[in-house]
Amino acid sequence: MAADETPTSYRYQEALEALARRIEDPKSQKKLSEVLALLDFNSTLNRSHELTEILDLVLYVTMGETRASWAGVLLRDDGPLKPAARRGRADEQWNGLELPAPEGAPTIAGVGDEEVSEWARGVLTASGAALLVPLVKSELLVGLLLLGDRGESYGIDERLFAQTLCVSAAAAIDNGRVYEELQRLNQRLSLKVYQLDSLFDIARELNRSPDISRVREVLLTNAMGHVLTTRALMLHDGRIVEQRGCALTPEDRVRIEAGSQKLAELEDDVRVAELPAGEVSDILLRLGIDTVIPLRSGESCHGALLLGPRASGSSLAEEDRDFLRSLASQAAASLDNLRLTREFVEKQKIEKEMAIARRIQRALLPESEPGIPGWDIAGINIPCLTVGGDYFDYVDRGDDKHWLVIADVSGKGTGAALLMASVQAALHALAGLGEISLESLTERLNEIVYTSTEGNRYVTAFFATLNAPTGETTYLNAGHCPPLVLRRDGLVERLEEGGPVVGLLPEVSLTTGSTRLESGDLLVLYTDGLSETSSPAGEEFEEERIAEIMRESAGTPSREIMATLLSRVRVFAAEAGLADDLTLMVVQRD
Amino acid sequence: MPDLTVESRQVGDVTVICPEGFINAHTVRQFEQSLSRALEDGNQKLLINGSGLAYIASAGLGVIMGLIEETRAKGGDIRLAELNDTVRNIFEVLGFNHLCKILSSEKEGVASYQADTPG
Repeated sequence: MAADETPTSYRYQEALEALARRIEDPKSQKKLSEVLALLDFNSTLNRSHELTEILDLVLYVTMGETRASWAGVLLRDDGPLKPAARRGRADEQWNGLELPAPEGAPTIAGVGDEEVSEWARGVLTASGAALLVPLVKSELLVGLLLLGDRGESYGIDERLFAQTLCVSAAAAIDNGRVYEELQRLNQRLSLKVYQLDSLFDIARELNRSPDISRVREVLLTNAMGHVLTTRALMLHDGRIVEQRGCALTPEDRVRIEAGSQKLAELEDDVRVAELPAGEVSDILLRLGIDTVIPLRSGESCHGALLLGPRASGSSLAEEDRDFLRSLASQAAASLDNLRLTREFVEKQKIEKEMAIARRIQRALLPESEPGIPGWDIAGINIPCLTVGGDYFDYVDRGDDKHWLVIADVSGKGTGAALLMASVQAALHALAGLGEISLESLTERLNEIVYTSTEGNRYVTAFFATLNAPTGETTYLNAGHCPPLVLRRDGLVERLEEGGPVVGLLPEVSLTTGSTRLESGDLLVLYTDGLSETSSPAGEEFEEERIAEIMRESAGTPSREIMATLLSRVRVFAAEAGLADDLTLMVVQRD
Repeated sequence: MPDLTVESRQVGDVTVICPEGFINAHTVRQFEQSLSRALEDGNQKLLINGSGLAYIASAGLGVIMGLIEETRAKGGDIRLAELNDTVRNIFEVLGFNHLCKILSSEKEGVASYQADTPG
């Protein structure tokens, strides 16, 4: 030790030791030895913070100077006095001691003293000590120094020494306890900081890797690292997806997976021993799993984290459970996000594909009015979903003849749209083969639809051949809502002649009807998306309303009549909206 | 610079694994692979030299916990040496130092395995 670091007390010690060598009177020599011991004691105390070190010092110095057979210290917090340290002869009683604190500050007391309080007598008897010295700091009893037998009774000198020593010792013990408490707090603080660091670390990782297996792995290894357990399982969506250190048989796996729903739906973390008795908890106990932490994010239960006991054997503290809960909820939120992202991506993909389908379907429908001289014709198709099963068409048959077609495939959406596309293709193919009657056309279409859908789907259709110069019209109605002709005189005619729907029966018998469209007549073809649209009250739009609107708007251009019909049906449906594909065709002679 | 690089070398029958950088949730898979690979290769006596290890998050400890029981069952062990104060402090806070042998130097770590071998 460098000279400037030598404690000042050493100099006094040296001086006192020199003095002791010159004194021959034994009594004075003993006093000097005591002073030396106290000096040494005090200077050492100042360098120790640890409570155990301080207590050891108290015991050794006291025993050295008083030659007690043993010495012990009892300490108290707020409650009773309990053993804290002991040196010298072993005593089985000692560890179990628990003595009540006295009322007020006690004084030094020895066996055989004349005036001993009842409390002090009780302490001496219970501990088997010969002398009791209170450790008092700021008038508060910190503890007791107890000294065992020393062959002769404790005289005034020993008592004075012990009391003097206890004054310094009480302060040091109190400091030592504060120091210990601080260390405990520090330790807890470090743990908290580490936990927060871990949560941050995990959050960053979960944010950067959109991968389910990664989330599971990060969750599992972190939980194991914090709890310091060698066993863990993870359940996700009803399956065991990760396992560490468990001797899991295929049968265990099946049984645990069968009971996984109950574990995932737990409100909070739970000890396996506290689960209702049953097969799953038996298996978990056998595998050495003792805690279940559900992975919940709001209402969605993703699974559970199952952990073995801490390798140290100690049970989980509230802080550990807090950490595990935070960890679990963070992982559950990530799993939630991943699920939503996946669904979103899936939905976007479908939407993209549907948009393509819609473009294709639009291309199958007429782009503009047919431009038949002397006729004002308008048509529109509004699918209820992105694509639909309605169809309308104009086909120039030459010689001033034109097909007007409207059809409705049963059902809606993609399936209906596919069938609609084949009907369109078949119709155009048949049209390209040359002269063909409406009956033959319908028969062939019936055959095609019937064989391609095995009778699962059908098509209602209306075909008409319009002779443009004369207005003569031949038609065939295959189960379709009858088109309406509003005559100039206000009478309404329904075009019903024909046969059953297309594609439902293997063979059909068909007839055709005919009519003549004069100037001032108004023909409206529509699908049931118009007539069967419901009001919020559940009432249907119906043919009668269509006829009424036709009467009101007769004489205006076809495009306007179409617009009126559409706006009226939308008002009628109100917030319920259109629930089916809707197609309209309006035909008038100029 | 990557968060973590892991090198390993053989000293007698002890595999010394030297992680350099940070073992965190992002790099922990790499750390796990280096340990698993050594164990799969039949090396059961592992010594992690932590002199280049700046930090170890709980995920890293989880990896050790997940492997240590099986390794010990096969007569091996996972030990650590040359930890810096930060890492040592983490181990003490969690009580990891009671579960795993921690030596002050690599030399002592290797020697600790030789002391186990009878004769």
